[in-house]
Amino acid sequence: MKRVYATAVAVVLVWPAFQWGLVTFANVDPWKLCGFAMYAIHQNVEVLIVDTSDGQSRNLTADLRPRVSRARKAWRRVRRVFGDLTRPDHLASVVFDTLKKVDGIGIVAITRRLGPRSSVFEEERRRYNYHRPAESSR
Amino acid sequence: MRRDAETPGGSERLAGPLVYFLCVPASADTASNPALRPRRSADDERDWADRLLAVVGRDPTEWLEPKLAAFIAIFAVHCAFREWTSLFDVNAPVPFSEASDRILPLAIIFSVCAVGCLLERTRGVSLAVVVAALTYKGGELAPTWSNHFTIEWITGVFLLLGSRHRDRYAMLCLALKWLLFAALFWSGAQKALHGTYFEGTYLAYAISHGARFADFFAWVLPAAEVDRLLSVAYPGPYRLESWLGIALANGIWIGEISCALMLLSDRLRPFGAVGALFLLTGIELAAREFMFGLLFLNLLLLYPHRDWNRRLSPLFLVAYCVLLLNRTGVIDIGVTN
Repeated sequence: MKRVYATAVAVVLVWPAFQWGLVTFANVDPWKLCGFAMYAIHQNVEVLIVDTSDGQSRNLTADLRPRVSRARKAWRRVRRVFGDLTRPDHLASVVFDTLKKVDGIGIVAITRRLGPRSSVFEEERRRYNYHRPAESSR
Repeated sequence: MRRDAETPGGSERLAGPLVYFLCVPASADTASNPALRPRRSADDERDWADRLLAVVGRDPTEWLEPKLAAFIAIFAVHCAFREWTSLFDVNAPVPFSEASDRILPLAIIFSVCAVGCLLERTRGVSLAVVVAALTYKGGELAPTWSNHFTIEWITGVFLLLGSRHRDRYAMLCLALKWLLFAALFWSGAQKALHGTYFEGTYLAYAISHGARFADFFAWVLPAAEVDRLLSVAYPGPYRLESWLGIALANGIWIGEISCALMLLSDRLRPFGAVGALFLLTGIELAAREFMFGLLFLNLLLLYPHRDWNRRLSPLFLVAYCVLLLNRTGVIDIGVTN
C-alpha cells in the first residue's frame, strides 16, 4: 500500500507541470485539470459560427436556433477546459442537421488570455472548417 | 570518530562500514565471518516509497489516530456543508438552486456520512459512501472540475485506502501532507511560470474586475492606484505602478513556494506551516473563498505533531455554520462561498 500512496503522491507532484504545458501550448483552462493555477492567469473563450456557403462569410452566432445554441454552449464549456485538445465535430453536425440550407461552416474558437508581458488580453483564433457531407447536401 | 547524534541510527550506520574498512585486514575472510560484515540499519531497509513519503515529516505514533480521526470528521462535515451551501442560492429568484433535485440527495448523504465518520465502527463504510458520492458528483461536474473538488476527491480516496487499517495511518498522514505541499508549491510555481505576477499584471486585472479584490487591496495599496485600476477597461493594459503593489505581487508567489519548501525540512517546518497559515489568511481575505480555506486549513493542521485539528474542531463547525447562514441570507458577512 505504501507504494500505491507514493505513486499517487508522485503523480500529484508531477502532473501540474504537464498541466502548465497543456495551458501554454494547447490553450487548456489554467484553472482546471488539477494544475493549482488558480489566480495565476485569466483566460476566456468565445465560439463563433460562420456560414461559408457559396464563398460568403456570414456570422450566424447572434441568431441561432435553440438546438444549435445549446450545442454551441456545450462545446464552449468543453473548449474552455480542454482547449485545442477538443474539436467541434458534434457542433458541426448539429448545425448541418438543423440549418438545411447551409453547405459549409467555420467554427471559430477565440481564446483570450492575459498576456504577462503586454499586460493586455491577447487573442488567439483557431478555425475549424466543415462542409456538408455529400449524401445530405441539397 | 564523530558521532552523528541528530540522525537516528546515524552513528550505527556510519560505524559499521568505517570499522569494516579501517580495522579489518584486506585478507580477512568476511564471507565466513558474518560479524565482520557491515550491518544494515533500519534506514537501509526502507525503499523509495518510504523515503519519498517521509520527507514531509513522520508523526509520533501516539498522535496519529486522534489526528486522523478529527481530520476525517472535519472532512466529512466539510463535504456536507459545501453541498448544503451550494443548494441555497440567496440571489436566485427562488431560494433553491436550479440543480436542487441533484444537490439535495447529495447533501443528505454527506450529512449522514458526516455522522457516521464520528464513530470508528461506521467510519470505513461512511468514507466509502463519501467517495462514491464525490465520484458521482464528479460525473455531474465533468469536465469543469475545480481544483477544490479535485483536492476533495483525492483526499477522500486517500482516506478510503488508509483509514481502515491502523498500520496504514502513518502513510495516510504523510500522503495527505504531500497533497497540501503540492497545492501550495504549485500555486506559487504556476504564478511564476505564467509570469503574471512579476509586474503584478494578474493582481491589477483582479482589482480592476473583481469587487472583492478591489475591497481588499483598497486597504493595502495607494488609493490613487486602486482608482486608476478600477477605471481600466478591457482589454487593458492592467499594470501595477506602485512599488508596494509589485512587491506584494511577487511576495505572494515567492511566499507560497518558500513556505512549501520549508515544510520539507524538519527544522524549518514550523516556520513553513505558520507562513502558510498567514498566506492562507491573506488569500482568503482577498478572494473570500472560505470553503477552500477551511479544507486547506484542515490539511495544514496535519503538519504539527499534536492533534490541533481535533482541538480546533469546534471552530471548524462554527465556521461552516456561519458560511451556511451567510449563503441562506440569514446573515451577511460579504463572503461568496
